[in-house]
Amino acid sequence: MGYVAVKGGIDAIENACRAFEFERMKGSSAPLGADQIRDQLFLLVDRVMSEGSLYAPDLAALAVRQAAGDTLEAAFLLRAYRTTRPRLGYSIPQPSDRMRVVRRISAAFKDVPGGQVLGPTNDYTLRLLNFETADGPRIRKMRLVDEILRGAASAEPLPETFPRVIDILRRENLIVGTRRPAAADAPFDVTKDSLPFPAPRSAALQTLARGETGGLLLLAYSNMRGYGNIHPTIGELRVGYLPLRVRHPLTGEACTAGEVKVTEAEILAKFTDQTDGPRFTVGYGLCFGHNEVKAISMAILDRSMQTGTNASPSEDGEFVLSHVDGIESMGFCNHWKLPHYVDFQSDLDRLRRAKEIYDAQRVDQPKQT
Amino acid sequence: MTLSEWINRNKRDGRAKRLDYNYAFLDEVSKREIRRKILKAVAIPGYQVPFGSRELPVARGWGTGGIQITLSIVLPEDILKVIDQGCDGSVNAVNIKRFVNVVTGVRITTDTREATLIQTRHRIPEEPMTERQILVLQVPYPEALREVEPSEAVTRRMHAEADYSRMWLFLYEDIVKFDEITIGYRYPVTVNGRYIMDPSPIPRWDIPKLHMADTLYLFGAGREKRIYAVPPYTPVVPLEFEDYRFRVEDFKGRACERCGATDTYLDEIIDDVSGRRLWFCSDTGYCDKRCSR
Amino acid sequence: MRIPSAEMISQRAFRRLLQAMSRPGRVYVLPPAADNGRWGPLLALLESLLDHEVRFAVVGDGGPESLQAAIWGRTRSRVAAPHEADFLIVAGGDSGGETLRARRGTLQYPDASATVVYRVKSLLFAEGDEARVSLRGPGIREEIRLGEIRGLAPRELGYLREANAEFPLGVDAVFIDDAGRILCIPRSTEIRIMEN
Repeated sequence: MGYVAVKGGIDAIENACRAFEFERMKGSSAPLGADQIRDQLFLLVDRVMSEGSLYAPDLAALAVRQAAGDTLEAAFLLRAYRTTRPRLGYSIPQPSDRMRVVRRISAAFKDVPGGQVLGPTNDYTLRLLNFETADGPRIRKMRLVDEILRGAASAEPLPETFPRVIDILRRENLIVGTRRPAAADAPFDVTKDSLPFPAPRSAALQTLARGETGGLLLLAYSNMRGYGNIHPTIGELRVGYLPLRVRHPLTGEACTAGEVKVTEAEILAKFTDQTDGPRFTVGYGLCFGHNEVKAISMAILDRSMQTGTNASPSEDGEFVLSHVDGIESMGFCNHWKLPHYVDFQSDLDRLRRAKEIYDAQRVDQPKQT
Repeated sequence: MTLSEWINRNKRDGRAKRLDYNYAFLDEVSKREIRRKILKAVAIPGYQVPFGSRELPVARGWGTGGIQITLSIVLPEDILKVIDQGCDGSVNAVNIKRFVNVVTGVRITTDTREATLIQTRHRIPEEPMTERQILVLQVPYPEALREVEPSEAVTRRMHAEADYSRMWLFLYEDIVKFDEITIGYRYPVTVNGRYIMDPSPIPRWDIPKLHMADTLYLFGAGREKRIYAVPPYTPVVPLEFEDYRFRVEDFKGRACERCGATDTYLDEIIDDVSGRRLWFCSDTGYCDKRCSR
Repeated sequence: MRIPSAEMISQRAFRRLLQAMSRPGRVYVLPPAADNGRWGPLLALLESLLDHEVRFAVVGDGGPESLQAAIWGRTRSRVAAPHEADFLIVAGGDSGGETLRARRGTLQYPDASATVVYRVKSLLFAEGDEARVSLRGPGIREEIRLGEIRGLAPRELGYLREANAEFPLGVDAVFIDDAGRILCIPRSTEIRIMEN
């Protein structure tokens, strides 16, 4: 008999793990240091932290290496680690105008108070593949650092904080009001409770912030293209560091424990005819790390889900929120690789029976001539 | 880290506790939430209780719901059996039982009668289970109505109102098309005369085992974040019409090539060389036991 | 002898409770708790279920204030009004009608309902006890008849019956005595008070 079931137990599993390790190591190149990944592939690390829902650049770099660069798998490693950590406390909410900004642009105005700050971006580069040898970057690194440091002496320093573009419009009463949740109104936590539908906005935003970049982009893009009609304008997009403020466990005083790099997007969309006059509506996006596509997509989806019509997929909150989690969708997609032969046997039984009935009925019917 | 590295590290340290992991891996807050939800599930047979569902070092869709239930109730003196498609040696079953063993020290068996706690994917063991046993089923789709309605908000309302007309219509249309109910596995059942329930992707063969059983059945869907239960001695009735009956899979005239059983669920195997069809017990533990008699 | 850790006691206590909830009307005994005080078994049971994520209320006589403090101390569960509590603890076997006001959930979320924990004098039933109540439903093969539950106000089973009249809405009851015996009557159980 030639049949071998999908089994073999622990040995087979371990050999498969070893083979994967070997695949990563077998080349002649030097092994990657986690610090190299953290510093030089920082956008990858940022994406993994955001989807893994854990702000830990060093751990994310380790995860990226272990997962051989698979972002879904790396984010999964972070999530699985996160779940074992006790929840020691909660940080104090921070308004994002406290952000130490490194990049900040508005598409809504030519110039904005505080100015447009392009910061680190490759938006305006020509996408020509760089054929430098390995030595190239090393020389270029020294030259670049040298240039930037020399220029920094004469440059005007960036202000500590920037006013938010959206607040300017809000003062003019051009934006829908935001309902500030009461202090006792703790935000929903999707890691502690199953997401109900319709979802509270805090649960929706948390789900999107943990969502998979490609998934968010797909749904937001469908809206931009025409399955929906948000027609967003980027009121403000900023990248920077938000202070992490916590209460001191002994004194109870608020203190800064560190800072967290985030990308924040606020989009302005078609105005609504509110009872107190027409205003712009706002969509909000915020995620860990530098990931502009994700923050903008999130803001668009936040706004599209508030449309309330469910006329297109991106407007249907349940549809969007049930499908954007990378760890869940990846896990379920991969699970089809598990054996399903018992179920298949059951389906075969039904198909054979249906075919029997079909054939019998054909025989019963007199042939038409 | 590979599985064996992790296991060996734990073994060296003796107890999982010293690795900063709690007994049975989950922290106490998570376990308490799962326990509260299990109790409600037992009290409301067939109703899907939403729960937080923690992320595990096992991928979503690979039994995380069942694992979380198992971890929340397992005792060190339990004897655990884990099967996938009826098979104790399937890679995923092996992975799960090693994980539970490492974080609890629980003993592992392949003998259904010996086990006190059984976690399973897609099968209920052939041997009748007793009052002192608990069966935990892994569930991919907890919602039986998902077949006719994709929205959770809507299916929840349908359950609330016990409005199952669309499910019956689904069966009716099937019969019109094929003159037979063609649902293979995941056959919808009514529990205690109230809720329509997805029994997980077990074959129809196993459905009668749910009815008025001696054993408690717990169902865990990790990715979909639902827990539900069928307590012992609870009526579980497959959906059917009087003239179009629910039927289990037909293995008439077949017998297990290995143990000769004619009263078990069989896997159909195509022989590499001869191309001949062969049939084997899907419940490998039971088949082994029969062979060694 | 090693003193069992709190988490092991919880895990064991819950397993018995799960058996009891699955088989209404049958008496199970909790494993020995570290604390054998008056409320030892009750607190061990609650510790397996309660924490800061849920709310509880203690009602009735039998030292409700100090019991409330003890429960908070062990579980950090939040105190709530009886009609809002996830766990309604009836300290002396008499809820004074609070069982009727306890949360019964909604048709969409019947699980968002209270669990009522009755502390009673004794769940020991003697051979010749006259049957007072008949129980039927899931978890019961045919019927279970119970004698008088000592230390439970006679009206309480009637309250439970009323609170659970509209399944799936309702409350789930756990009875516990100071010796650690437990018995459950979930909402799925049909309660018939027997005429004498």
